Amino acid sequence: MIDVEHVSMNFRMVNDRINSLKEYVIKLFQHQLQYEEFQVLDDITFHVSKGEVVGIIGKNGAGKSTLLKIISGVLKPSKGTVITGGNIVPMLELGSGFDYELTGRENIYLNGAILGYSKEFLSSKYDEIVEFSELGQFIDMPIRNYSSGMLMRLAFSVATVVEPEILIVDEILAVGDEGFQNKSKSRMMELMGEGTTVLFVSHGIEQIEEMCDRVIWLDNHKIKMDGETKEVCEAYKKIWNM
Amino acid sequence: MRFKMIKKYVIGIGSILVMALILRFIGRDQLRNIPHTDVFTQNKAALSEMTAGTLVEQSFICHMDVLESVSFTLGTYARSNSGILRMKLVDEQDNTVLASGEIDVSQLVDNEIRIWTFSEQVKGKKNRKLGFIAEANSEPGSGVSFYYGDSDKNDMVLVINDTKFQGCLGLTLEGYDVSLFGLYYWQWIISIIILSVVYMLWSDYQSARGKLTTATLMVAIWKKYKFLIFQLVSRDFKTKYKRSVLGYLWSFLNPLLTMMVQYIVFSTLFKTDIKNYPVYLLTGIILFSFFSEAVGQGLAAIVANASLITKVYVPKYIYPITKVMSVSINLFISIIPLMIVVFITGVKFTLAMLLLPFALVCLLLFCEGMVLILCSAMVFFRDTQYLWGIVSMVWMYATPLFYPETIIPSNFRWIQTCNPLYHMIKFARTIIIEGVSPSPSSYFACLFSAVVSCAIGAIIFKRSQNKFVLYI
Repeated sequence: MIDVEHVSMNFRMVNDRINSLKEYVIKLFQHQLQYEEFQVLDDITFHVSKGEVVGIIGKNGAGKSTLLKIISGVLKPSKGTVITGGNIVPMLELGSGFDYELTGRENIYLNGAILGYSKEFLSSKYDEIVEFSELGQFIDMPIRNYSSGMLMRLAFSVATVVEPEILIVDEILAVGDEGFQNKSKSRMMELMGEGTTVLFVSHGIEQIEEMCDRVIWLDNHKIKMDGETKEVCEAYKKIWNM
Repeated sequence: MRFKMIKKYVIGIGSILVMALILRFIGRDQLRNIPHTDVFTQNKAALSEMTAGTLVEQSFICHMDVLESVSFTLGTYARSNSGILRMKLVDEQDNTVLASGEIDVSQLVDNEIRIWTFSEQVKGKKNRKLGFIAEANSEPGSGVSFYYGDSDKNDMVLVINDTKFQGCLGLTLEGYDVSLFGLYYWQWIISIIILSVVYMLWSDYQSARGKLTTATLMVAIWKKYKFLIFQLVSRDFKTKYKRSVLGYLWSFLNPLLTMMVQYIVFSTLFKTDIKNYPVYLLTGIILFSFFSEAVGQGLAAIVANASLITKVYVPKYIYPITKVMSVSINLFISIIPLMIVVFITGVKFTLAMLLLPFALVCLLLFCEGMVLILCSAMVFFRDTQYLWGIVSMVWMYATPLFYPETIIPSNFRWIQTCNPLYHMIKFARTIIIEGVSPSPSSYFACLFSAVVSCAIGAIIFKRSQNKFVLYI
């Protein structure tokens, strides 16, 4: 389902980030444009088969988010290849892809289109999305009036209604109130049961332990450990003295 | 399957033929003849009086295919004169008389510009040496005089009574060139059809082999992303006037109000030089404000969608392209007030209006190209948006929006020639105000700038898009 083969990612970092033409020209003339090769991922290889729920753990800056970006096709790796079978749906951060002037209804279609769903599919699933999000009559209100919980519920409902083949989740499970959190968790479980492949990044080790079949531990830009959830989590906890 | 393929070819050939027929029908003379004016010099001073026995001969090289008329200024010394001024146009290489005419000197007003239209058009004299000969039978004290100016070309020789004179008569030749496009119109159309059929066959052959050509790729992208494109365009359009009371009415009011202000400010300055000044103004305002708005909004398209681009894979060019498309809806709405003003000012609606979409499509493509270039630049240098503010202002003044194009001195004309917007706005004005088709070179200028801008934009965008994620 996901084949990651010898993926390396190098960023060429300019020592200071240059944001304007003036700065660039000045630096260019002063010969101060020094680039520094910065390796974020170093020869990463792993395979995920259909239906697996894989958690990715690691310190801040270990390259977790970069890895997800490469898998979802947003970033091109410097070396190596990624082959994925099936449509990839990322769970977006709070509100990205939403337009705050539009109503909830319009945003469902907009966000759905961005995630790659067809019009027919969205129309047929529309009621289900509204029902799951518990927004009721608020669905025809501009979402700038929504609370952050309402927004998150809408985003979650749009992203998960699809039964995507590959779902990418980057730290957004604490959604809404207690009730909705349970509901979203069970929806995730349901998706996993239906054979969706899930890549899951989190710092919350408890969540990982609870949901994943397998854990990949990234450390120092390499895979430090790849195996059963229990085994990896224990080793991980040991480092952190948890 | 077979039927579907044949249908595609029939539709392709048919639509080209229909467009060719419409174009032929609208632009009968304009496609064939390109007006050509040859101004010899700027008048500086008057020659001596034309009396009996004075023979003035100006030789020149003819630069146009067909000569129709020659105009000149005659001074009368502000007195009443008498006699006849005889003029001849001769071919100096074989000494044949091409045209002759005469002017009753007593009828002339001082410094009047006289246009001598040849009784028969002079054809086939391009690049030959011709002569303009004038003589009169006036008594001394009752003759008129020609104006002359500096001669800057070697092939211009002015001879007065067999002596060479330093200078050149202030003549202006009018005529036209025969356009190769108009002359071989159907040959052009047939070759375009053949080329498109060959390309379609090639595309089919390649897709049968599992490869994509540019055209089939574009069709595939359109099929895959049309829902997203539609959603993004309607998002922009819906939110544009979301919380305003008048809403979409602003798309009407904006160009109209701008036109009114400019009309009040500039009408006394330029009104007399320009036919139908309100329509002249409004056409320029609508097209230019679309351009500056589309580019101004489009250049931020990548940066503004940073949160999506770093998360979801969507071809990145979708964002700038849909931005221009959503601004273009505004353009199409503002055509309505333009048509209302056209109607009120009493311009006749002619079939030439059917050519307006050509100008609009070229403008749209030109904007797409500009936006692709600038939004890539914007990712790396945020200064681009402020620079664009200045550039678009300079561009606005360099384009004849509210002033007549003739006030630009001839040594700065190249600014207009290099300005794609000038060509597109002029194209639209010719269609609307004159009611005729523009000359073939205008079509070419519009199409050329659109295609070049798109090509450059696509190349720059393609080269830089993989780095976007690292910088936004």
